[in-house]
Amino acid sequence: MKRRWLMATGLVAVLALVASACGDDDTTTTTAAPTTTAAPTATTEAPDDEVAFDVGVTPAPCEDAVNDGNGCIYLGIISDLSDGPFAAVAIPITDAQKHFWQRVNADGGLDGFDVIIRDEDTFDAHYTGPGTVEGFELMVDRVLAFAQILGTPQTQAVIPRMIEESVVAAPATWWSGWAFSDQGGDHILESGAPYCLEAINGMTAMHGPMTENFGEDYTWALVRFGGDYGGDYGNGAIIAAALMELGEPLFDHLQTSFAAGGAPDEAVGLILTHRPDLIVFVTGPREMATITGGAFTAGHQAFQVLGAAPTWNVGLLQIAELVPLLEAVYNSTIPWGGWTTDTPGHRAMRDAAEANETTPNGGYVAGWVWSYPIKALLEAAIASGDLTRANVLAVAGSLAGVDYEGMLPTRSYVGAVNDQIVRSSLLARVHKEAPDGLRVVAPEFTSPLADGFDLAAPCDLG
Amino acid sequence: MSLLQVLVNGVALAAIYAMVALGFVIVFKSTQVLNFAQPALLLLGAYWVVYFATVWNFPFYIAIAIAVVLSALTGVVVERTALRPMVGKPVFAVAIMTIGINTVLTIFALDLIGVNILGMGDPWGLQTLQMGPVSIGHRQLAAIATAAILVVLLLAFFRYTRFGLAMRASAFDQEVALTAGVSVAAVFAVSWALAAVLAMFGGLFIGTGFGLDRTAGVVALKALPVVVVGGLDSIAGALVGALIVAVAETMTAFYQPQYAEFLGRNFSQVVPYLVMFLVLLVKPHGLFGTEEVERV
Repeated sequence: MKRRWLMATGLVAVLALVASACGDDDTTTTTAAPTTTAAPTATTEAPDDEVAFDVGVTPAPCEDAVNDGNGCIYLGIISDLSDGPFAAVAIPITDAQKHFWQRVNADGGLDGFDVIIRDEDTFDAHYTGPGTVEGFELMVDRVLAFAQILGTPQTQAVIPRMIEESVVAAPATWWSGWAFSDQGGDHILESGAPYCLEAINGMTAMHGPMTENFGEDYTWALVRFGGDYGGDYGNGAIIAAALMELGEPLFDHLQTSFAAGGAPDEAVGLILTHRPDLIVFVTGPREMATITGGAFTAGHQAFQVLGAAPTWNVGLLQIAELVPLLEAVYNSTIPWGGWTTDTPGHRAMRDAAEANETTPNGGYVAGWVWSYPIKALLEAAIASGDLTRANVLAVAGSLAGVDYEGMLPTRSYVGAVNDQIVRSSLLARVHKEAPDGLRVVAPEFTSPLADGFDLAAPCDLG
Repeated sequence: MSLLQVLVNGVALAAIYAMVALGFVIVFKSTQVLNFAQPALLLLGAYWVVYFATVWNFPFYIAIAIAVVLSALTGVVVERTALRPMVGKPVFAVAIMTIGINTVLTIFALDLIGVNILGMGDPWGLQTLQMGPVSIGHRQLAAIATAAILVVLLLAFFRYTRFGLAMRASAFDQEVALTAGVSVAAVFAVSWALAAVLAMFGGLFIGTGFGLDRTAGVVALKALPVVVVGGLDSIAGALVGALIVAVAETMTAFYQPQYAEFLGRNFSQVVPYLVMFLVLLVKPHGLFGTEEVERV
């Protein structure tokens, strides 16, 4: 008996050794342990005694403060950090936001305050509504605002509580509804064109190449997640197709996420039955890749794909066998320039990523961009002498001139919806040598259809 | 799209289901326990292939060979450390224990896999073989061939080897097998090793072509209706069950949206469980399962 136990223990030890040796460093996240930026000398002024504050702000310095004389503003993050469908991009989004504030603090902070996103204020909601509400309730009494709430329905789930608590957040979503006060938009500082307009731009940009290769009467179809950005982007595609006289999609398939037990067969079957020339995908990367590859393998081999920004992830390039197909067929709309774009903001972002040993990723770019409105908001609130939640919310409603350091045009949150929404997008194709896997083929543009589009209500197909 | 194409896709899917389902059957036959750890063994086994093929850059088939060894070792370790102490305990308790094992191994596997999609480094990619109107992916052909080879090897092992005979004896009656000198403990360990290797092959073919990610284990759940339809203790039943379930699922996925739209979207995902329900109503022990006779 003793020998058997020894043998079993030995086997466990061998497996444990193999497992620990096999831990793939590349797959580990970089959320832990931000690099210690060389602390500048504390030449900044102490927080102005005149600045009022309540929740999420302290006159005392942050933990591990970069600027000892500064007070501290606490921000929270509710994201998808482990097993949800967007964890692959949500982790770099979160990293970027933490690194963004490290840079701000290293530059002296915001007029007497450092800004910090602590690990305990970073909540993994697994891309669920209840999880998002749970994260909100956990942090609402200790943070001033949220640097990120990921997902449209997830953010919608906490809007009532955000209104009750006068909380403001930057979203990790481009839902067109955030432009509307009655949807809680006053509490959301969104960036970039909404999905709906991104789709209109994408359909317009694809029109020329499609007619060239498939003729004037090319057909199209829609594969999308239900609600969320599937409904918003999908409706934008339908609106654009109608305006371009392409007609209805051959089919509008609601795809269940693989993480929730969905399978590719039905979408592949529809594609093979109807053989659309253009397939608009508004799913996760895994669903898009599997369905596209499945349709190709089963015999439909002449088509193009248009995907929304969240439908692409650079991780797809790890599937070497799939890359040639994706390079041939996949087109992605993106709301702002990718990793290699030459703007001061992009350069600062790349420097931060390099300093923190973070690999290129579209999620990282997004996290960096989404941070600028919060920075502008905090600066404006401090300048007004009032960092209380009520005043921060009031300032958000009059926030103008948000500077993205060139990553996006300066924007305002003041005025009528159609006057303030961003309407420009970029179109990119897959390129395996590009750091984020995408090469821009149409630089920032606003299609005539998007330019003249009256966003009177959220584009929501359901 | 032709009916033949749908059938080919169904058979390829059946090959994957069959590999995972056989793992359930072998463990059940030798231990009378339903092995709920198959999804985790699938994830872990597939990850070993990814790791050795793409991180260490071993030739793909060498990576598979290493994965076979590591998977078998995992099965043995699981049996020795977690299940052996449960000998003599109610079968229900042991089955619950396998759920716990699944949880532990899944967390471990997911930590290794991470959040990205991982390429398997397989040689098949999206290459296809065109036969008239039917297009068959090389990876689909490889899955069908592998499943066939594994079944033949398993049948030969059970029929022509002493240990296989011992496993059959143990499955028939453990106490009688013990009196005949069969090491039931070894039988248990080998059955878990075989189940882990079969799950690994299932995971391998789920991941080839389109990559492996955290969601791959979900497919293993489809093996449950497969074994219930075929019969929990029948290897032939697992094959037939896999064919029935996979072809029904594939046919529904292709034809239901056209001819029975009123059933709603993604109805094909319900079909395996619907088939299971119907078979249970008619033959509670599955199409090929052994009927238990209880004397009152």
